[in-house]
Amino acid sequence: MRRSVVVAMIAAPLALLYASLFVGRFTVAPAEVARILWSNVYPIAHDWPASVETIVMQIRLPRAVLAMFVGAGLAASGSAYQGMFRNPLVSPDILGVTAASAFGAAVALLLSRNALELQVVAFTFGLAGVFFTYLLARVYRATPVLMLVLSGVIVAAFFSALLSGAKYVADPESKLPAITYWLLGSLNAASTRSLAMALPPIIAGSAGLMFLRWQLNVLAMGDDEARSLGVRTEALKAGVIVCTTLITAASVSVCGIVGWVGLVIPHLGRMLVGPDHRALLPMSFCIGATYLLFIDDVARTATVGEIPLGILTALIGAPFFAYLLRKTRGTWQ
Amino acid sequence: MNRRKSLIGVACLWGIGILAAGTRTHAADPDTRQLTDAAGRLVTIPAGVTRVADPWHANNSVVLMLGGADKIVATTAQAQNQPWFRRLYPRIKQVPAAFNAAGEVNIEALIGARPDVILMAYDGTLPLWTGAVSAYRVPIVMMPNRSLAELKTTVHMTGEVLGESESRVAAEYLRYFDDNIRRVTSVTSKLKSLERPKVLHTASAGVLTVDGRQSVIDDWITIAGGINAADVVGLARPVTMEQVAAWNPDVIIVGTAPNQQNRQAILDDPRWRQIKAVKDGRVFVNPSGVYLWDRHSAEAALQVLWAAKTLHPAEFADLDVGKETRNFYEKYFHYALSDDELNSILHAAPP
Amino acid sequence: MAVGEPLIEVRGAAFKYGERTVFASIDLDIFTGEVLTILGPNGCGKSTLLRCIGGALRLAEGTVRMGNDDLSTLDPGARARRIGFLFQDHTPTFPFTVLDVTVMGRTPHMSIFGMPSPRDTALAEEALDTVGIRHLKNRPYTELSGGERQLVLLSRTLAQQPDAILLDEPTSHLDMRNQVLCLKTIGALAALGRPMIMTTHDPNHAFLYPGRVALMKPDGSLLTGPASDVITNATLSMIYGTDIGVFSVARRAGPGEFKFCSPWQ
Repeated sequence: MRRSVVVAMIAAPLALLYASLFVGRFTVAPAEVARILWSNVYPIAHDWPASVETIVMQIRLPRAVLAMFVGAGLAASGSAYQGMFRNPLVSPDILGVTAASAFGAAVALLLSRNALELQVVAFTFGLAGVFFTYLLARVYRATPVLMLVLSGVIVAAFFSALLSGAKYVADPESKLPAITYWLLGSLNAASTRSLAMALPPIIAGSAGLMFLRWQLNVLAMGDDEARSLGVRTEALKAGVIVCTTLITAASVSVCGIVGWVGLVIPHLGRMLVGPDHRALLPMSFCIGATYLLFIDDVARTATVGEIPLGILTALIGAPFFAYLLRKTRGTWQ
Repeated sequence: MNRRKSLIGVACLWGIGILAAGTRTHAADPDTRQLTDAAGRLVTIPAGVTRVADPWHANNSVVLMLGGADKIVATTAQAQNQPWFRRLYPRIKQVPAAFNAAGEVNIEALIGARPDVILMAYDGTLPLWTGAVSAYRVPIVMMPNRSLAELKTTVHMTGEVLGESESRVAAEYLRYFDDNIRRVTSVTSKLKSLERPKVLHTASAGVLTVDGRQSVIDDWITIAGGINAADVVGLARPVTMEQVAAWNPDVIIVGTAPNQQNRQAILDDPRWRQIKAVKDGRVFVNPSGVYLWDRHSAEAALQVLWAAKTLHPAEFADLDVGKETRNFYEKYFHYALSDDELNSILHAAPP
Repeated sequence: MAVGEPLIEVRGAAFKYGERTVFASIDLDIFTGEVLTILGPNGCGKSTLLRCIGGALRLAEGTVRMGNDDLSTLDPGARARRIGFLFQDHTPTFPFTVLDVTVMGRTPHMSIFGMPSPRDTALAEEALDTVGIRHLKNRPYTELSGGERQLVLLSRTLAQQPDAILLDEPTSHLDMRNQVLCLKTIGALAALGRPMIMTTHDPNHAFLYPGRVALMKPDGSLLTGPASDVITNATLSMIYGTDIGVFSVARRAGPGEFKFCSPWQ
């Protein structure tokens, strides 16, 4: 990739990150933000109230960082899966991680657990759901792509039914609204502690995908051909599934269901740099991070209550996808 | 001659039939009475009600308080799973839960319980099952639930439906409730706006939701001399941490999902650390007994006392919430609370 | 390895689909520099045999040895460094460039987490040169014709630098022009020294190259030998179940005769 592109890919998200710190319902001046950030690196006199420091360092900064990592991770997961399944219509939810996580979160809300406990439970359920899908899809020590998709449909349907059951027994005055809001997606749970729990799996999964991006190219040729080129296809598929599941389960557990990022951003990336994962994965990270950070800034600033992320990403994602569809006339070239 | 006699005979019979039918439709049935419910409908219920179906979770505790719990023949899982309700009235465990959490009904279970009347909360629309149930001729009395004043109306209506002795208890309870309100507002009405703390009442722990204006919670906060910090309308509304920081409440009450762990989670969370309520140590768990005190439960009469004392401990130094609770439980639930039990209720812990 | 010793030895190979035996007791030698054509009707098992030799399928019985190694015991990377495989069907999904697809042939020489080095890219460009499609290197390979795409896959196999190349019905979906393009390239590659095994159902292909033909009979056994011996009216009619004549005509250009088969005479 050209150097100017690489520079832009790093600069844009960082610039938006800085802007996100002084944007919001609580007014903080950009210069003040700069001083607060600097004071954490180099001690200077504090001439701002402690509450403003909390807003910037404990509330906005973790939230913006989380938005970037979740957006980047989901977009990269979408790219990886679209390559692995050789299908541009695949999203990271295809193996059931989202449905299983959502059910875990609902259970935690029914039991009145707090946000950190909810995160752990939802993450665990997400991993378990994909584990079942993988086991279900195994045929003679191989996991053909078609079996994975069908198993994913089954497991997702099962957990969706359980989720409906949870909503059915939830108290409509407090628990059911909580479950409903959680499902719509929000980054409000972002804090230094939830970040400390969510970031390691997202980073680990993303690093794994980056290491595997050449092998993903070869896998996109088909299982047989990849094998004839020396690729251990079963191990590679398992590796990709583990990486994307770590990313997606960690993301869903902390911010609910954020759709469209994993589906649409890879297409945007492909339009810009082509299907070669060597360029596509980094580009997906970058666009995903910037996109979700921007959406979240709108979500938390536009009105007093938050606009759920899932609604905004769909409102923007669906028309954009429609535009892509018309423009490429379905040929994905 | 014969034919004319038969004709006259038939005409007479016909006439008598019409008269009788007419008389039937105009005479009042001495076994029923009528009242107008919150939906504005004229409802006919039996004169003596012995079997009541109560799909309104909180209202079950009102029925218990009025002394009519023996008449409950159908209830909800949420009501019968309240640990203190089960402790005070074990029979509730055997009552079939014909209604689910959302108030939807298992018709067969409901009709099988043969209720005389159904008591339901009215939020502006009739539930979907009213049509199906009315086919079985079971009257449904809708009662209002959107404010503290409406809660008092509900208690009165519940008593009226249940019968004479329950009506009497309802009247006594309402006098007590009004006394409590007067006792509290005599002090709080004199407070200046600066002296009224901003109160944030949370509804859920896993997802940050708060209770806002135009709700029963807003009402008792105001009576108790506070201002609802949440500038939103309705119950269980989602808000961002940033918005909470902007409101900067003076007092936080962990409600609706009240327990010590959720309170501790707020105290431990670095994002809440600079909120005035956390800095001043004014984070409280809302008591919960037979039902959640902060919602439409019978214990709302105690809630106003507890809230007043919590928000203004100096002005209400002589108010002994524990003693009032004990007396209340003795009088209305016929239960003597031990020290431990009283403590548990005031800290929203199960028995 | 001494001259005259086979590069690949197949001994006692057998394969079953469930209860049905596809072939059994197959012995085959492939020598350096030759193009061995395996001829047979659709469904006779020649593709299966080729896949077994290439290691994509496991034999029920028998071994395939290459030098001192039993191919079935090699890990996929090692096997890919020795054997290149051109599959019959390829469904392209994403518009990778021709060069990208060709560089994928270098994967067996890269580590698991590796990226192609400049040397890998150079070797890929060389392969494109050899096949004669270097001018297409930056085109999306999905935009090419079937024949050109087949040549891209051939370059990829070349870039792999295997010791032997296996081609499974390389021209089955191609029109005449593309067939000629493809088969001529294969001939030129064979001349470079690597042994190639090609399966086909068209007996005319077998006459194109110097080298042996292995005719797969209905009972699953092979009849091996020079083309002129193996491909006769009798053998063809036996395996195809229809009367196919073998004809000789004078070459249009150059001396000598040219043989072809046709059922239409």
